[in-house]
Amino acid sequence: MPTTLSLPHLPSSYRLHIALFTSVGNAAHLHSQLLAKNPEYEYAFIEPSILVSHLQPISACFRAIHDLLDPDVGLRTPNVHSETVFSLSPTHNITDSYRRFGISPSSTAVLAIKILDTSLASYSESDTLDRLASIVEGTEVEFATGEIRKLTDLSKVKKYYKLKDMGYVDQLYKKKGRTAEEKSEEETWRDLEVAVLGAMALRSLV
Amino acid sequence: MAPPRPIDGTLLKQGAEAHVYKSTFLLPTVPCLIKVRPTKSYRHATLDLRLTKHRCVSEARLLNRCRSMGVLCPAVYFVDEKRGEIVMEWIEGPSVRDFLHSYLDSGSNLDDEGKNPDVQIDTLMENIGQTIGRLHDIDIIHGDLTTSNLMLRHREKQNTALDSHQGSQGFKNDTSLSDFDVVLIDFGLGQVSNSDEDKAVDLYVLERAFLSTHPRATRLFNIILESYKRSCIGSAVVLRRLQEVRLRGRKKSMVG
Repeated sequence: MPTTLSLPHLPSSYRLHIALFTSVGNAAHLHSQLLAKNPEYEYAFIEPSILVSHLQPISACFRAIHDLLDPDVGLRTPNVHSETVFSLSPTHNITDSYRRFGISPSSTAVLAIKILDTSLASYSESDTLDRLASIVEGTEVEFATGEIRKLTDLSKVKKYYKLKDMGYVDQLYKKKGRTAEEKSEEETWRDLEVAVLGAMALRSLV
Repeated sequence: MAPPRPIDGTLLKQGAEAHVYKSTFLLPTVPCLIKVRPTKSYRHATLDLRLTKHRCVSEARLLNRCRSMGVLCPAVYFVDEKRGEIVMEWIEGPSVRDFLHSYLDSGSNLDDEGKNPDVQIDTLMENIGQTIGRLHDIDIIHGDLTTSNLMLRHREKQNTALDSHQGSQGFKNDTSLSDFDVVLIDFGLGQVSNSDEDKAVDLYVLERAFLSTHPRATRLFNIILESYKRSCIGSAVVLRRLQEVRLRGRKKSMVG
């Protein structure tokens, strides 16, 4: 069952429909439809291996809708869905962001997000949800941090978000032979999560 | 300048530089703090935009650098630099200032001679020294170290709503202060610098703030310095410089 959300600080008419799929069979097809700019396939298809928590894609949606509604900023990519994928990136390179954070023909898991303005007459919640559930051929799993972390590729996350400085102090102290505090697994994930959210948030600042 | 917009949240504090709101980010379960630098109508609009933007951006960068390098401070969730807004992680807990006040008021014996030394408070002071040491080891200068800009957060109960007053009462009875993390907040005056002078001034500012708000606590500040000396790698030079700063005050050059 896809997750439906509306975000605080944004008009409540904007709604996110999010579904996470594993064992995906038609990634190549979805990818080609995106390249063909088929409006039927206007979704944010995200590669889940670069996600560390469920907040990360929601934060990207927040940025995309925020920029869409801000007359001073506006979108830098064709639509709010591509903007969502672009918003996951810590850099300004749009092509790179699609390649790294978006679906690729060989993807086996996909996070699909549809952003809709429910105040539009054409909106129908059940149609959107049905379409979202059927567009990706795969097994739908719960959109939750626990499921996402099973798919995370840590080396890719660290490379793309340039996190080599993470926990620098503790590494420094360890090198100097001091006792560094051991962090629990949950704390390490949390540190990673906020480092990624921070990298995304600071991208706009030149 | 982008038009100001109403912030969806409760106003907590209003300073000269910024307004601070409590709200939620993305999900109702994620509490956050929004720091807004409002427009100053007495400044020229272009200058105002530039200053607001610059301060907002530099604070966000510092917070992010600090947090990702392993010094506890609020994480940055979102930045709208044109409106001067930073959305950051909510830190639950009392400030060290409030905590010390309620502690000292409650009549425990804290003398300068060190009679009846309280192990709990000493642990807290050691934590503070260590945290500042770590901060200086990644070459960040806080710029406004006061006890109000140091928060206490319980390690486990990070997300439970704990009234700050109740919290400080609860500390003494059943929990050990070593379970609390010292979290630095408000990097509005911060900068990145590796100079001993800047680090020494940072400590000096804390010393002044500390001794003026908690006059009985000279002994406590010495514990902070001791702990700083032990944990911070470049501490020897900084502490030597602190002696000089104490003699002449915060400003290096008295010209102009």
